[in-house]
Amino acid sequence: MNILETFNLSVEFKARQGLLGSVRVQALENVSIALSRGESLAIVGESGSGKTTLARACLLLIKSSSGSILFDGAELSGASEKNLIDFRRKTQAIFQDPYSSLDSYMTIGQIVEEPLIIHQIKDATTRRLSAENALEEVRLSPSNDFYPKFPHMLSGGQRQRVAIARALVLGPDLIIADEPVSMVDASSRTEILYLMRELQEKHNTAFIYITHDIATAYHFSDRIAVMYAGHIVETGPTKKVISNPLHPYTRALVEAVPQPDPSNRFRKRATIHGEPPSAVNPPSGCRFHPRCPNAFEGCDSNNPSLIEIRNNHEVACHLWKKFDGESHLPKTIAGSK
Amino acid sequence: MDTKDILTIMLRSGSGKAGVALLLGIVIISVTVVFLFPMDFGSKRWNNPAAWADNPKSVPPFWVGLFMGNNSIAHKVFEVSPQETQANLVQNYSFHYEYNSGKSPTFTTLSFTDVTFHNRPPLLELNVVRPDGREIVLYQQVLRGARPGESSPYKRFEETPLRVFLTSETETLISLVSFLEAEFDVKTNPEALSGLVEQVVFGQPSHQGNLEFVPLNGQYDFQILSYMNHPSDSVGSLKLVLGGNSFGFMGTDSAGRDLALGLLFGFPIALIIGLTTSVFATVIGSTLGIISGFKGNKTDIIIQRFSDIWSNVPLLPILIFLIFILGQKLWIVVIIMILFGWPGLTIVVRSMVLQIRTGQLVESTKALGASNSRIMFRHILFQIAPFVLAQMIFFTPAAILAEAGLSFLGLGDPSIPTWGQILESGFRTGAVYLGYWWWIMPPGVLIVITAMAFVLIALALEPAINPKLRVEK
Ligand SMILES: Nc1ncnc2c1ncn2[C@@H]1O[C@H](COP(=O)(O)OP(=O)(O)O)[C@@H](O)[C@H]1O
Ligand code: SF4
Ligand SMILES: [Mg+2]
Repeated sequence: MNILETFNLSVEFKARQGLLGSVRVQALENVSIALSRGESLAIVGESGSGKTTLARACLLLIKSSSGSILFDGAELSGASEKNLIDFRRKTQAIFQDPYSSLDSYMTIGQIVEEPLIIHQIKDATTRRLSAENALEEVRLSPSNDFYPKFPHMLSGGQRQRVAIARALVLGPDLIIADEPVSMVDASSRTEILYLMRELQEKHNTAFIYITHDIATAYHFSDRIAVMYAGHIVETGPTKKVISNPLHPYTRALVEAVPQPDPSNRFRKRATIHGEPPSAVNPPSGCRFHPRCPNAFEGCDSNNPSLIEIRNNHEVACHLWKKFDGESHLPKTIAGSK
Repeated sequence: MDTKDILTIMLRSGSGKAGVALLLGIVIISVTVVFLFPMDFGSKRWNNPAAWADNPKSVPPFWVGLFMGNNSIAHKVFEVSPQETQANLVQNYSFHYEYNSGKSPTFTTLSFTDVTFHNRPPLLELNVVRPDGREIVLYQQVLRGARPGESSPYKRFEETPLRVFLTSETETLISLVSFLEAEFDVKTNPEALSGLVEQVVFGQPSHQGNLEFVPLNGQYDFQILSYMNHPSDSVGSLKLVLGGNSFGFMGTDSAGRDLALGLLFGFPIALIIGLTTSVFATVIGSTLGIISGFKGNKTDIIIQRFSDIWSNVPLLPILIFLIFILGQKLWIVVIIMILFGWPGLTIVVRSMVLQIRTGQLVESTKALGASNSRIMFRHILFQIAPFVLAQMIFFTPAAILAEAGLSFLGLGDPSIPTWGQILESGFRTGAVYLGYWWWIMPPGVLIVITAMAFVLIALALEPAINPKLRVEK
């Protein structure tokens, strides 16, 4: 059974505009994801595409406007905080900013013990043991040294490790990490990603790894979902999606990744032209059409939905279905099929 | 930024140093006073006229006397403590008084306490031998004998002493009339001598036969005799007071109260008023602010509207009105100031919480499954604590000044002396027009200094914790 599943999840915000007016922002529209136990899913997309909103909705930190969220088969959307206690214990989150997600007035020990206190682990010795164990697991060692420290005495990377330790300490079934290394200094990014991957495999924890960097997704996830303007535009096994992107947007993302292979140095790289879509006033039809190099007539009026092209590899693009009775597949993509 | 950094920043500035130094002094004085003064100082001492009867009225501090030269006459008190065993039936106490001043003492009193006798009452006598060898019997009195139904031993003046105000005592006047006639050939009568007792005792007629006296400086030997009739009769204590025209460190008011004591007692009272009010108002204000900002929606609207209305109620008229109804009690004043002191803080704290609420700290704690109260009072409260603390410091002088204002309007608590009340009694008795500056200035200056200590500290804290200058991450 899937540990987490969303079905047609939509989230709408009311944003203030002017003095009295408010506009609706459709941050997420009909998003369906599924995650089995121990599986790692990467959510990739540029800033503003709705990744954080998806994370917050899955964590039940915000109300979704429609759709459902199933955790271990139980419907959670609309549940009261009282009925979420079990979910809160089994699902943990790692946030983007290690500077603000940890309480600067608490010691590292207090921070890592907090989930245990909240979830009624009354025995102080047990709490201390679990917390020290978690700190050792994230290689904040010797944990005794870190215990009495305050977050401001630690580097960004170390703080994020504290956040990971806090997420691990209850032995969760699912961890949702929202851009966990984007605010950490570049030198410790890979290390933290490897650490998370290692811990995820060791504990067989399901993992949602949110990132704007498709290259890291390649190394740290089993499956990937690419988001654009609140929609999932392509999803499938990470290796397949990245080696053979079907959606023009994914293709652009992949090609924008600098290649270490020198023979690729002069290869013409696709860049994404134009502005990212406005969430208040999104483009009609396919949200990507104003920037899409392959757009054709009809793209601006019909929003494509996800269709399975190959085993588990789905894409939402009109190129991949018969349109007007005529195939519009560009040669490169058509050829690779 | 943590509390330590804030302290360092504060102490770096001149105003911070000055404020902390002032406050430290105030606290040290207050603690000492609390240890040394009885708790019922206000009702038992300050507002008990008997406690101050032997002091000169409305006189400046003693150190002013140092500048008055020959016109200064020091206040002199001679006291003998109780003695257990009586060897003699005649008890004899003597005091030597070195008199050298151009003024005569302002008044003379003699007090006895705790007289015990077994059959006939003792005879008490006060006489003085002057530098010129002349002797005057100033007072002679046989105490009242047994009352019907009373049994031996008889006790007199246990609680309140027998206090003889020799300056207007008829017997003394009569004795002086005969003294003047015998020694200086001055014929007069008791009425004519009234008000001149000290001039007669401590001087001599300027011309033969007239009633003008010049001081006679030198050593005066006072002697108090008690003639007992039974070996176990006794007199507890004796006190002879020669009034001066300056007194104590801070002078006296029109009731003879030692202003130094009243001003000292004002220190802990001012701190208690200021701190109690500000602590409770801050606790209420920040709690409501946190709830309002964190809960949002209806709770927020209700709390905000209520604070808006509440903060626009003018405090002074309400205070005056409620004190008229509920009585002049200090704790009522404090409670009212607390009740009306919180709304401003609520509004500011709410706006800070709104900012924190959307941050990742709250979200990450919520994701852990923390209850709302844990988020509000374990996390948010700590984030705004430095600011709240500064507000508390800022609010303290306001409460002290408000109490002083009320006292000045005559609405203070009569059982607890405060600086405002000393000021008020000075104004009421016309100290300003009479030039009794020692009565008016010190309480005013102390109010200002105490308020200033807190304001200086708050000003020094400003750059460290102003929410506009520094946003908590
Ligand atoms: N609380 C909110 N109120 C209004 N609009 C929001 C809110 N949160 C996010 N949005 C909007 O929703 C869209 C998606 O945001 P987000 O999920 O943060 O994207 P990402 O994490 O991919 O950068 C953005 O256009 C953003 O402006
Ligand atoms: S649907 Fe049209 S516009 Fe959208 S990605 Fe495909 S080709 Fe481009
Ligand atoms: Mg984001």
